[in-house]
Amino acid sequence: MRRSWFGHARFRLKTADFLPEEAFLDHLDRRRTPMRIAWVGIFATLCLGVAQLLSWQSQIFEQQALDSLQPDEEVLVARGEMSRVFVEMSTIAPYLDPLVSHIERPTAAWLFAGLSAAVGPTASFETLRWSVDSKTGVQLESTALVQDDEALLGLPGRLQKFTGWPRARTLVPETAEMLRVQIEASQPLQQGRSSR
Amino acid sequence: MKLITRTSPIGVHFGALETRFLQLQGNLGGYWAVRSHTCVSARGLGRQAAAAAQIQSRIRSLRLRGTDAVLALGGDAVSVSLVPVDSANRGHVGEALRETAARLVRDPEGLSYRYLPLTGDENVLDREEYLLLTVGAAEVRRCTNAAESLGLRPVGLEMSAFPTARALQAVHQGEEDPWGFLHLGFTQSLFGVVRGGEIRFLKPLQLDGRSLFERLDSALGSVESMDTLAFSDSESESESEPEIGPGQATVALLHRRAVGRAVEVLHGIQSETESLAQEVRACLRHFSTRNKGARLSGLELTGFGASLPEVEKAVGSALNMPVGLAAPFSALGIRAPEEIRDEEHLWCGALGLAMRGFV
Repeated sequence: MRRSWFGHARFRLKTADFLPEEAFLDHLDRRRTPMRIAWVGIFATLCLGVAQLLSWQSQIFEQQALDSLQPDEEVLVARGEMSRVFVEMSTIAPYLDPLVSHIERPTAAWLFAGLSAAVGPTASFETLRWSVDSKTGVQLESTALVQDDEALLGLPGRLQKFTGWPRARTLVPETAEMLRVQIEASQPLQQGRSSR
Repeated sequence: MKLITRTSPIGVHFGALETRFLQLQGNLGGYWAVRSHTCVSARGLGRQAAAAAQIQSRIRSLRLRGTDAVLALGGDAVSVSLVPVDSANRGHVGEALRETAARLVRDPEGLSYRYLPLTGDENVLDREEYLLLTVGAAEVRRCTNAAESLGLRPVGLEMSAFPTARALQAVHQGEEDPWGFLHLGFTQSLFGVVRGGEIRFLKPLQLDGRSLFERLDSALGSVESMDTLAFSDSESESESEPEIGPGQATVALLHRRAVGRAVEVLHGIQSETESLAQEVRACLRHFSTRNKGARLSGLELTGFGASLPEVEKAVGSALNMPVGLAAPFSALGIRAPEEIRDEEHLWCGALGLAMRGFV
Protein backbone atom coordinates (compact mmCIF):
# COMPACT_ATOMS: atom_id res chain seq x y z
CA MET A 1 0.00 0.00 0.00
CA ARG A 2 1.38 3.36 -0.92
CA ARG A 3 2.74 5.17 2.09
CA SER A 4 2.02 8.56 0.61
CA TRP A 5 -1.66 8.47 1.46
CA PHE A 6 -2.16 5.71 4.01
CA GLY A 7 -2.50 7.41 7.32
CA HIS A 8 -1.62 10.78 5.81
CA ALA A 9 -4.75 11.44 3.80
CA ARG A 10 -5.79 15.03 3.35
CA PHE A 11 -9.37 14.13 4.08
CA ARG A 12 -10.95 11.55 6.28
CA LEU A 13 -14.27 10.62 4.88
CA LYS A 14 -17.13 11.81 7.01
CA THR A 15 -19.29 8.94 8.01
CA ALA A 16 -22.46 8.12 9.87
CA ASP A 17 -21.80 5.57 12.58
CA PHE A 18 -24.72 3.81 14.20
CA LEU A 19 -22.63 2.90 17.22
CA PRO A 20 -21.62 5.53 19.75
CA GLU A 21 -18.72 7.69 18.67
CA GLU A 22 -16.84 6.81 21.85
CA ALA A 23 -16.49 3.20 20.70
CA PHE A 24 -14.46 4.17 17.67
CA LEU A 25 -12.51 6.83 19.57
CA ASP A 26 -11.57 4.15 22.09
CA HIS A 27 -10.49 1.96 19.20
CA LEU A 28 -8.28 4.75 17.86
CA ASP A 29 -6.82 5.13 21.31
CA ARG A 30 -6.11 1.41 21.51
CA ARG A 31 -4.62 1.54 18.02
CA ARG A 32 -2.09 4.03 19.24
CA THR A 33 -1.02 1.74 22.06
CA PRO A 34 1.61 -0.15 20.04
CA MET A 35 3.08 3.17 19.06
CA ARG A 36 3.20 4.20 22.70
CA ILE A 37 4.90 0.92 23.55
CA ALA A 38 7.31 1.54 20.73
CA TRP A 39 8.16 4.98 22.10
CA VAL A 40 8.63 3.59 25.60
CA GLY A 41 10.82 0.86 24.13
CA ILE A 42 12.87 3.37 22.22
CA PHE A 43 13.25 5.53 25.32
CA ALA A 44 14.21 2.53 27.44
CA THR A 45 16.71 1.42 24.82
CA LEU A 46 18.13 4.93 24.76
CA CYS A 47 18.47 4.93 28.55
CA LEU A 48 20.12 1.53 28.46
CA GLY A 49 22.45 2.76 25.76
CA VAL A 50 23.40 5.82 27.77
CA ALA A 51 23.89 3.67 30.90
CA GLN A 52 26.06 1.26 28.94
CA LEU A 53 28.05 4.17 27.56
CA LEU A 54 28.59 5.56 31.05
CA SER A 55 29.58 2.11 32.25
CA TRP A 56 32.16 1.77 29.50
CA GLN A 57 33.44 5.25 30.23
CA SER A 58 33.79 4.54 33.95
CA GLN A 59 35.57 1.28 33.18
CA ILE A 60 37.97 3.18 30.97
CA PHE A 61 38.62 5.73 33.74
CA GLU A 62 39.07 2.98 36.30
CA GLN A 63 41.55 1.21 34.09
CA GLN A 64 43.40 4.45 33.53
CA ALA A 65 43.55 5.02 37.29
CA LEU A 66 44.85 1.51 37.90
CA ASP A 67 47.41 1.93 35.17
CA SER A 68 48.57 5.18 36.72
CA LEU A 69 49.19 3.38 40.03
CA GLN A 70 51.41 0.82 38.35
CA PRO A 71 55.09 2.09 38.21
CA ASP A 72 56.60 2.05 34.80
CA GLU A 73 59.72 0.12 33.89
CA GLU A 74 62.14 3.04 34.15
CA VAL A 75 60.92 3.82 37.66
CA LEU A 76 61.34 0.19 38.68
CA VAL A 77 64.88 0.08 37.28
CA ALA A 78 65.80 3.34 38.99
CA ARG A 79 64.28 2.17 42.24
CA GLY A 80 66.30 -1.07 42.07
CA GLU A 81 69.44 0.87 41.34
CA MET A 82 68.75 3.14 44.28
CA SER A 83 68.26 0.14 46.53
CA ARG A 84 71.52 -1.33 45.37
CA VAL A 85 73.32 1.95 46.00
CA PHE A 86 71.70 2.23 49.42
CA VAL A 87 72.84 -1.29 50.34
CA GLU A 88 76.37 -0.50 49.24
CA MET A 89 76.36 2.79 51.14
CA SER A 90 75.02 1.12 54.25
CA THR A 91 78.23 -0.93 54.55
CA ILE A 92 80.41 2.21 54.74
CA ALA A 93 77.94 4.42 56.63
CA PRO A 94 79.68 3.92 60.04
CA TYR A 95 82.82 5.33 58.56
CA LEU A 96 81.14 8.17 56.82
CA ASP A 97 79.41 9.70 59.85
CA PRO A 98 82.56 10.81 61.80
CA LEU A 99 84.09 12.03 58.57
CA VAL A 100 81.01 14.09 57.87
CA SER A 101 81.01 15.58 61.35
CA HIS A 102 84.67 16.39 61.00
CA ILE A 103 84.18 17.95 57.62
CA GLU A 104 81.39 20.05 59.02
CA ARG A 105 83.70 21.65 61.56
CA PRO A 106 84.91 25.14 60.62
CA THR A 107 88.43 25.59 59.31
CA ALA A 108 90.77 28.48 60.15
CA ALA A 109 94.06 27.47 58.63
CA TRP A 110 93.55 29.79 55.78
CA LEU A 111 93.60 32.70 58.31
CA PHE A 112 97.21 32.05 59.20
CA ALA A 113 98.39 32.48 55.69
CA GLY A 114 97.16 36.04 55.33
CA LEU A 115 96.62 37.32 58.82
CA SER A 116 100.01 39.04 59.24
CA ALA A 117 99.68 40.85 55.94
CA ALA A 118 96.15 41.88 56.78
CA VAL A 119 96.99 43.65 60.05
CA GLY A 120 99.78 45.60 58.39
CA PRO A 121 103.53 46.05 59.04
CA THR A 122 103.06 48.02 62.28
CA ALA A 123 101.46 45.15 64.12
CA SER A 124 102.81 41.72 64.91
CA PHE A 125 101.07 38.80 66.52
CA GLU A 126 102.54 37.18 69.54
CA THR A 127 99.97 34.53 70.31
CA LEU A 128 97.02 33.09 68.48
CA ARG A 129 94.41 30.93 70.21
CA TRP A 130 91.77 29.10 68.28
CA SER A 131 88.66 27.73 69.85
CA VAL A 132 85.36 26.34 68.66
CA ASP A 133 82.35 26.14 70.88
CA SER A 134 78.78 25.27 70.02
CA LYS A 135 77.52 28.30 71.98
CA THR A 136 80.03 30.98 71.14
CA GLY A 137 80.96 29.68 67.74
CA VAL A 138 84.45 29.98 66.27
CA GLN A 139 86.65 32.22 68.33
CA LEU A 140 90.16 33.47 67.54
CA GLU A 141 92.10 35.17 70.32
CA SER A 142 95.45 36.70 69.58
CA THR A 143 98.03 38.93 71.26
CA ALA A 144 99.71 41.49 69.04
CA LEU A 145 102.23 44.28 69.35
CA VAL A 146 101.04 47.44 67.64
CA GLN A 147 103.46 50.30 66.97
CA ASP A 148 101.22 53.32 66.34
CA ASP A 149 97.81 54.60 67.15
CA GLU A 150 96.54 54.40 63.66
CA ALA A 151 97.46 50.75 63.49
CA LEU A 152 95.97 50.20 66.90
CA LEU A 153 92.66 51.84 66.08
CA GLY A 154 92.34 50.22 62.65
CA LEU A 155 93.43 46.79 63.68
CA PRO A 156 89.98 45.39 64.59
CA GLY A 157 88.55 46.79 61.39
CA ARG A 158 91.26 45.32 59.22
CA LEU A 159 90.97 42.03 60.98
CA GLN A 160 87.19 42.05 60.55
CA LYS A 161 87.58 42.94 56.89
CA PHE A 162 90.05 40.17 56.28
CA THR A 163 88.17 37.45 58.04
CA GLY A 164 84.75 38.60 57.01
CA TRP A 165 83.60 37.82 60.49
CA PRO A 166 80.98 40.08 62.01
CA ARG A 167 82.84 41.10 65.16
CA ALA A 168 86.41 42.09 65.99
CA ARG A 169 87.61 44.31 68.87
CA THR A 170 90.70 45.39 70.78
CA LEU A 171 90.63 44.34 74.40
CA VAL A 172 93.72 45.59 76.42
CA PRO A 173 96.04 48.54 75.65
CA GLU A 174 99.35 48.19 77.59
CA THR A 175 102.15 50.77 76.90
CA ALA A 176 102.32 54.23 75.37
CA GLU A 177 105.01 53.46 72.85
CA MET A 178 103.92 50.11 72.09
CA LEU A 179 100.73 48.62 73.10
CA ARG A 180 100.26 45.03 73.63
CA VAL A 181 96.67 44.39 72.76
CA GLN A 182 94.58 41.36 72.86
CA ILE A 183 92.42 40.96 69.79
CA GLU A 184 89.45 38.77 69.70
CA ALA A 185 87.57 37.82 66.53
CA SER A 186 84.62 35.52 66.56
CA GLN A 187 81.84 34.12 64.35
CA PRO A 188 78.77 32.17 65.39
CA LEU A 189 78.58 28.69 64.02
CA GLN A 190 76.19 28.05 61.15
CA GLN A 191 74.39 24.71 61.17
CA GLY A 192 75.39 22.35 58.36
CA ARG A 193 77.81 24.83 56.78
CA SER A 194 81.53 25.17 57.19
CA SER A 195 82.84 28.55 58.26
CA ARG A 196 85.45 30.52 56.40
CA MET B 1 10.69 -12.86 7.65
CA LYS B 2 7.79 -10.47 7.66
CA LEU B 3 7.92 -7.67 10.17
CA ILE B 4 4.38 -6.54 10.83
CA THR B 5 4.33 -2.98 12.05
CA ARG B 6 0.60 -2.54 12.44
CA THR B 7 -2.73 -4.12 11.66
CA SER B 8 -6.01 -2.59 10.69
CA PRO B 9 -9.26 -3.17 12.51
CA ILE B 10 -11.19 -6.21 11.33
CA GLY B 11 -13.68 -5.19 8.67
CA VAL B 12 -16.88 -7.19 8.73
CA HIS B 13 -19.27 -6.44 5.90
CA PHE B 14 -22.70 -8.01 6.32
CA GLY B 15 -23.86 -7.93 2.71
CA ALA B 16 -27.20 -9.01 1.36
CA LEU B 17 -25.78 -12.29 0.01
CA GLU B 18 -22.52 -12.79 1.79
CA THR B 19 -20.52 -11.60 4.74
CA ARG B 20 -16.92 -10.63 4.18
CA PHE B 21 -14.12 -10.39 6.71
CA LEU B 22 -10.96 -8.47 5.90
CA GLN B 23 -7.96 -7.33 7.88
CA LEU B 24 -4.91 -5.53 6.55
CA GLN B 25 -1.41 -5.51 7.90
CA GLY B 26 1.32 -2.99 7.36
CA ASN B 27 4.74 -4.43 6.77
CA LEU B 28 8.19 -2.96 7.11
CA GLY B 29 8.61 -0.22 4.54
CA GLY B 30 5.05 1.00 4.84
CA TYR B 31 3.55 -1.47 2.42
CA TRP B 32 0.20 -2.98 3.23
CA ALA B 33 -1.18 -6.37 2.48
CA VAL B 34 -4.24 -8.43 3.22
CA ARG B 35 -3.57 -10.25 6.46
CA SER B 36 -6.78 -12.21 6.65
CA HIS B 37 -9.94 -12.50 4.66
CA THR B 38 -12.88 -14.76 4.20
CA CYS B 39 -16.33 -14.71 2.70
CA VAL B 40 -19.31 -16.74 3.77
CA SER B 41 -22.80 -16.98 2.32
CA ALA B 42 -25.71 -15.84 4.42
CA ARG B 43 -28.88 -14.00 3.61
CA GLY B 44 -32.12 -13.01 5.17
CA LEU B 45 -32.89 -11.47 8.50
CA GLY B 46 -30.63 -13.78 10.44
CA ARG B 47 -27.70 -13.56 8.02
CA GLN B 48 -25.42 -12.03 10.63
CA ALA B 49 -25.88 -14.92 13.05
CA ALA B 50 -25.64 -17.44 10.24
CA ALA B 51 -22.40 -15.91 9.02
CA ALA B 52 -21.01 -15.89 12.55
CA ALA B 53 -21.95 -19.55 12.99
CA GLN B 54 -20.07 -20.46 9.81
CA ILE B 55 -16.99 -18.51 10.86
CA GLN B 56 -17.06 -19.69 14.47
CA SER B 57 -15.42 -23.04 13.82
CA ARG B 58 -12.48 -21.60 11.89
CA ILE B 59 -12.04 -18.20 13.45
CA ARG B 60 -8.60 -19.23 14.73
CA SER B 61 -7.42 -20.22 11.29
CA LEU B 62 -8.12 -16.68 10.09
CA ARG B 63 -5.18 -15.43 12.21
CA LEU B 64 -7.00 -12.24 13.07
CA ARG B 65 -4.99 -9.85 15.18
CA GLY B 66 -6.87 -7.85 17.75
CA THR B 67 -10.57 -7.91 18.41
CA ASP B 68 -11.71 -4.47 17.32
CA ALA B 69 -14.15 -4.92 14.45
CA VAL B 70 -15.68 -2.27 12.23
CA LEU B 71 -19.01 -3.45 10.90
CA ALA B 72 -21.02 -2.46 7.88
CA LEU B 73 -24.58 -3.13 6.85
CA GLY B 74 -25.68 -3.67 3.30
CA GLY B 75 -27.69 -0.97 1.63
CA ASP B 76 -30.85 -3.04 1.82
CA ALA B 77 -30.81 -2.91 5.62
CA VAL B 78 -30.46 0.84 5.83
CA SER B 79 -32.97 3.34 4.61
CA VAL B 80 -31.35 6.24 2.76
CA SER B 81 -33.20 9.46 2.22
CA LEU B 82 -32.39 13.01 1.18
CA VAL B 83 -34.26 15.46 3.35
CA PRO B 84 -34.46 19.03 2.04
CA VAL B 85 -34.88 21.73 4.63
CA ASP B 86 -35.93 25.22 3.63
CA SER B 87 -34.31 28.18 5.25
CA ALA B 88 -37.57 28.93 7.03
CA ASN B 89 -37.55 25.53 8.74
CA ARG B 90 -33.92 25.38 9.77
CA GLY B 91 -34.88 25.74 13.38
CA HIS B 92 -36.80 22.47 13.23
CA VAL B 93 -34.27 20.30 11.45
CA GLY B 94 -33.96 17.78 14.26
CA GLU B 95 -37.66 17.31 14.54
CA ALA B 96 -38.11 16.96 10.78
CA LEU B 97 -35.37 14.36 10.55
CA ARG B 98 -36.76 12.38 13.46
CA GLU B 99 -40.21 12.28 11.92
CA THR B 100 -38.84 11.27 8.56
CA ALA B 101 -36.77 8.50 10.12
CA ALA B 102 -39.78 7.19 12.00
CA ARG B 103 -41.72 6.99 8.75
CA LEU B 104 -38.96 5.16 6.90
CA VAL B 105 -38.29 2.28 9.28
CA ARG B 106 -40.65 0.36 11.49
CA ASP B 107 -38.94 -1.79 14.03
CA PRO B 108 -40.51 -2.97 17.29
CA GLU B 109 -37.17 -2.57 19.02
CA GLY B 110 -36.89 1.03 17.89
CA LEU B 111 -34.74 2.72 15.32
CA SER B 112 -31.46 4.46 15.02
CA TYR B 113 -30.82 7.28 12.59
CA ARG B 114 -27.90 9.43 11.63
CA TYR B 115 -27.74 12.39 9.31
CA LEU B 116 -25.10 14.30 7.45
CA PRO B 117 -25.55 17.75 5.97
CA LEU B 118 -24.78 17.61 2.26
CA THR B 119 -22.72 20.71 1.74
CA GLY B 120 -22.84 22.41 -1.61
CA ASP B 121 -21.89 25.73 -3.08
CA GLU B 122 -23.03 28.40 -0.65
CA ASN B 123 -23.89 30.83 -3.43
CA VAL B 124 -26.54 28.56 -4.87
CA LEU B 125 -27.92 27.21 -1.62
CA ASP B 126 -31.47 28.23 -1.11
CA ARG B 127 -32.15 25.21 1.02
CA GLU B 128 -30.13 22.70 2.93
CA GLU B 129 -30.14 18.99 2.27
CA TYR B 130 -29.54 16.28 4.81
CA LEU B 131 -28.62 12.71 4.08
CA LEU B 132 -30.73 10.70 6.49
CA LEU B 133 -29.73 7.11 7.25
CA THR B 134 -32.11 5.02 9.30
CA VAL B 135 -31.78 1.49 10.54
CA GLY B 136 -33.82 -0.63 12.86
CA ALA B 137 -32.45 -1.25 16.34
CA ALA B 138 -32.95 -4.97 15.80
CA GLU B 139 -30.62 -4.90 12.80
CA VAL B 140 -27.98 -3.09 14.83
CA ARG B 141 -28.39 -5.64 17.61
CA ARG B 142 -28.07 -8.56 15.21
CA CYS B 143 -24.84 -7.15 13.80
CA THR B 144 -23.25 -6.43 17.15
CA ASN B 145 -24.38 -9.75 18.60
CA ALA B 146 -22.93 -11.65 15.66
CA ALA B 147 -19.61 -9.88 16.03
CA GLU B 148 -19.54 -10.41 19.78
CA SER B 149 -20.34 -14.09 19.36
CA LEU B 150 -17.06 -14.36 17.43
CA GLY B 151 -15.19 -12.70 20.26
CA LEU B 152 -14.92 -9.42 18.38
CA ARG B 153 -15.48 -5.98 19.83
CA PRO B 154 -17.70 -3.84 17.57
CA VAL B 155 -16.29 -0.32 17.40
CA GLY B 156 -18.26 1.01 14.46
CA LEU B 157 -21.29 0.25 12.35
CA GLU B 158 -21.68 2.02 9.03
CA MET B 159 -23.81 1.71 5.98
CA SER B 160 -21.79 -0.04 3.26
CA ALA B 161 -21.77 3.01 1.00
CA PHE B 162 -19.41 4.82 3.35
CA PRO B 163 -16.64 2.22 3.49
CA THR B 164 -16.99 1.73 -0.26
CA ALA B 165 -16.55 5.46 -0.78
CA ARG B 166 -13.65 5.46 1.67
CA ALA B 167 -11.75 2.78 -0.23
CA LEU B 168 -12.32 4.52 -3.55
CA GLN B 169 -11.57 7.93 -2.04
CA ALA B 170 -8.05 6.70 -1.34
CA VAL B 171 -7.74 5.90 -5.04
CA HIS B 172 -8.96 9.38 -5.98
CA GLN B 173 -6.84 11.11 -3.34
CA GLY B 174 -5.83 14.57 -4.47
CA GLU B 175 -8.44 14.93 -7.19
CA GLU B 176 -10.28 18.21 -7.12
CA ASP B 177 -13.12 17.17 -9.40
CA PRO B 178 -16.00 15.17 -7.99
CA TRP B 179 -16.21 11.50 -8.84
CA GLY B 180 -19.01 9.02 -8.45
CA PHE B 181 -19.56 5.43 -7.54
CA LEU B 182 -22.38 3.18 -8.59
CA HIS B 183 -22.91 0.21 -6.35
CA LEU B 184 -24.93 -2.42 -8.20
CA GLY B 185 -25.71 -4.67 -5.28
CA PHE B 186 -27.72 -7.83 -5.66
CA THR B 187 -30.74 -6.39 -3.88
CA GLN B 188 -30.06 -2.67 -3.92
CA SER B 189 -28.17 -0.16 -6.01
CA LEU B 190 -26.71 3.10 -4.78
CA PHE B 191 -25.32 6.08 -6.58
CA GLY B 192 -23.02 8.40 -4.71
CA VAL B 193 -20.88 11.43 -5.46
CA VAL B 194 -17.74 12.24 -3.54
CA ARG B 195 -15.96 15.55 -3.54
CA GLY B 196 -13.24 16.83 -1.28
CA GLY B 197 -13.22 13.63 0.74
CA GLU B 198 -16.88 13.89 1.58
CA ILE B 199 -19.97 12.19 0.25
CA ARG B 200 -21.98 15.01 -1.34
CA PHE B 201 -24.76 12.90 -2.75
CA LEU B 202 -26.16 9.44 -2.10
CA LYS B 203 -29.31 7.90 -3.42
CA PRO B 204 -30.71 4.40 -3.87
CA LEU B 205 -31.61 3.49 -7.43
CA GLN B 206 -34.39 1.34 -8.78
CA LEU B 207 -32.32 -1.08 -10.82
CA ASP B 208 -30.33 -3.67 -8.89
CA GLY B 209 -27.94 -6.49 -9.69
CA ARG B 210 -30.70 -9.08 -9.60
CA SER B 211 -32.62 -7.32 -12.42
CA LEU B 212 -29.50 -7.04 -14.52
CA PHE B 213 -28.71 -10.68 -13.99
CA GLU B 214 -32.22 -11.77 -14.91
CA ARG B 215 -32.07 -9.80 -18.13
CA LEU B 216 -28.67 -11.23 -19.00
CA ASP B 217 -29.77 -14.69 -18.03
CA SER B 218 -32.76 -14.55 -20.29
CA ALA B 219 -30.77 -12.91 -23.09
CA LEU B 220 -28.17 -15.65 -22.99
CA GLY B 221 -30.71 -18.43 -22.64
CA SER B 222 -29.89 -19.66 -19.16
CA VAL B 223 -32.17 -21.94 -17.24
CA GLU B 224 -30.60 -21.23 -13.82
CA SER B 225 -32.88 -19.86 -11.16
CA MET B 226 -32.10 -17.05 -8.75
CA ASP B 227 -31.92 -19.36 -5.78
CA THR B 228 -29.26 -21.51 -7.35
CA LEU B 229 -27.46 -18.35 -8.40
CA ALA B 230 -27.27 -16.93 -4.95
CA PHE B 231 -26.14 -20.07 -3.22
CA SER B 232 -24.89 -22.30 -5.95
CA ASP B 233 -21.35 -22.27 -4.57
CA SER B 234 -22.03 -22.08 -0.89
CA GLU B 235 -22.72 -25.75 -0.50
CA SER B 236 -19.53 -26.77 -2.20
CA GLU B 237 -17.53 -24.26 -0.20
CA SER B 238 -14.74 -26.00 1.64
CA GLU B 239 -12.59 -24.79 4.49
CA SER B 240 -9.53 -24.80 2.30
CA GLU B 241 -11.11 -22.43 -0.20
CA PRO B 242 -13.56 -20.32 1.72
CA GLU B 243 -12.74 -17.15 -0.19
CA ILE B 244 -14.67 -18.02 -3.35
CA GLY B 245 -17.77 -15.88 -3.21
CA PRO B 246 -21.23 -17.24 -3.73
CA GLY B 247 -22.51 -16.97 -7.23
CA GLN B 248 -19.15 -16.18 -8.76
CA ALA B 249 -19.04 -19.44 -10.62
CA THR B 250 -22.41 -18.57 -12.09
CA VAL B 251 -21.18 -15.13 -13.07
CA ALA B 252 -18.11 -16.71 -14.62
CA LEU B 253 -20.43 -19.04 -16.56
CA LEU B 254 -22.35 -16.01 -17.79
CA HIS B 255 -19.11 -14.45 -18.96
CA ARG B 256 -18.21 -17.58 -20.86
CA ARG B 257 -21.60 -17.61 -22.49
CA ALA B 258 -21.27 -13.94 -23.40
CA VAL B 259 -18.02 -14.43 -25.28
CA GLY B 260 -18.59 -13.38 -28.88
CA ARG B 261 -22.13 -12.22 -28.13
CA ALA B 262 -21.43 -8.68 -26.98
CA VAL B 263 -23.96 -7.07 -29.28
CA GLU B 264 -26.62 -9.48 -28.15
CA VAL B 265 -25.80 -8.85 -24.50
CA LEU B 266 -25.75 -5.08 -24.92
CA HIS B 267 -29.08 -5.23 -26.67
CA GLY B 268 -30.47 -7.42 -23.90
CA ILE B 269 -29.55 -5.05 -21.08
CA GLN B 270 -30.08 -1.85 -23.05
CA SER B 271 -33.41 -0.99 -21.46
CA GLU B 272 -32.08 -1.62 -17.94
CA THR B 273 -28.90 0.37 -18.44
CA GLU B 274 -30.86 3.17 -20.06
CA SER B 275 -33.27 3.41 -17.15
CA LEU B 276 -30.27 3.27 -14.83
CA ALA B 277 -28.58 6.04 -16.79
CA GLN B 278 -31.71 8.17 -16.59
CA GLU B 279 -31.73 7.89 -12.81
CA VAL B 280 -28.05 8.69 -12.61
CA ARG B 281 -28.43 11.64 -14.96
CA ALA B 282 -31.22 13.01 -12.78
CA CYS B 283 -28.96 12.69 -9.75
CA LEU B 284 -26.15 14.41 -11.60
CA ARG B 285 -28.40 17.29 -12.61
CA HIS B 286 -29.37 17.71 -8.99
CA PHE B 287 -25.76 17.60 -7.88
CA SER B 288 -24.66 19.93 -10.61
CA THR B 289 -27.32 22.48 -9.67
CA ARG B 290 -26.11 22.58 -6.11
CA ASN B 291 -22.43 22.64 -7.00
CA LYS B 292 -22.06 25.31 -9.69
CA GLY B 293 -22.32 22.92 -12.60
CA ALA B 294 -19.66 20.52 -11.33
CA ARG B 295 -19.19 17.45 -13.52
CA LEU B 296 -18.00 14.03 -12.51
CA SER B 297 -14.53 13.04 -13.57
CA GLY B 298 -15.52 9.39 -13.65
CA LEU B 299 -17.67 6.65 -12.25
CA GLU B 300 -16.56 3.54 -10.39
CA LEU B 301 -18.72 0.43 -10.47
CA THR B 302 -18.92 -1.87 -7.49
CA GLY B 303 -21.12 -4.72 -6.33
CA PHE B 304 -22.47 -7.90 -7.79
CA GLY B 305 -23.90 -6.35 -10.97
CA ALA B 306 -20.73 -4.45 -11.84
CA SER B 307 -18.93 -7.51 -13.12
CA LEU B 308 -21.74 -8.86 -15.23
CA PRO B 309 -20.85 -9.08 -18.91
CA GLU B 310 -20.87 -5.80 -20.81
CA VAL B 311 -22.42 -3.83 -17.93
CA GLU B 312 -19.40 -1.56 -17.61
CA LYS B 313 -19.45 -0.77 -21.30
CA ALA B 314 -23.22 -0.31 -21.38
CA VAL B 315 -23.28 2.07 -18.42
CA GLY B 316 -20.36 4.05 -19.78
CA SER B 317 -22.03 4.36 -23.13
CA ALA B 318 -25.35 5.40 -21.61
CA LEU B 319 -23.80 8.03 -19.32
CA ASN B 320 -21.15 9.19 -21.76
CA MET B 321 -18.46 9.44 -19.12
CA PRO B 322 -15.45 7.35 -18.05
CA VAL B 323 -16.75 4.28 -16.22
CA GLY B 324 -14.53 1.62 -14.71
CA LEU B 325 -14.78 -1.43 -12.56
CA ALA B 326 -13.49 -0.51 -9.11
CA ALA B 327 -10.12 -2.09 -8.32
CA PRO B 328 -8.86 -0.35 -5.16
CA PHE B 329 -6.40 -3.09 -4.19
CA SER B 330 -4.58 -2.80 -7.49
CA ALA B 331 -4.77 0.99 -7.54
CA LEU B 332 -3.44 1.35 -4.02
CA GLY B 333 -0.84 -1.38 -4.30
CA ILE B 334 -2.30 -3.50 -1.53
CA ARG B 335 -0.96 -7.01 -1.80
CA ALA B 336 -3.95 -9.32 -1.93
CA PRO B 337 -4.50 -12.96 -2.75
CA GLU B 338 -5.78 -13.91 -6.16
CA GLU B 339 -9.34 -14.57 -5.04
CA ILE B 340 -9.60 -10.95 -3.96
CA ARG B 341 -7.84 -9.67 -7.08
CA ASP B 342 -10.42 -11.48 -9.17
CA GLU B 343 -13.33 -9.65 -7.57
CA GLU B 344 -11.97 -6.43 -6.11
CA HIS B 345 -15.25 -4.66 -6.83
CA LEU B 346 -16.92 -6.92 -4.27
CA TRP B 347 -14.32 -6.24 -1.58
CA CYS B 348 -14.52 -2.44 -1.67
CA GLY B 349 -16.78 -2.27 1.38
CA ALA B 350 -14.64 -4.59 3.46
CA LEU B 351 -11.51 -2.73 2.40
CA GLY B 352 -13.03 0.61 3.32
CA LEU B 353 -13.91 -0.76 6.74
CA ALA B 354 -10.37 -1.95 7.35
CA MET B 355 -9.08 1.45 6.23
CA ARG B 356 -11.29 3.36 8.62
CA GLY B 357 -9.25 5.69 10.78
CA PHE B 358 -6.38 5.61 8.29
CA VAL B 359 -8.23 7.42 5.46
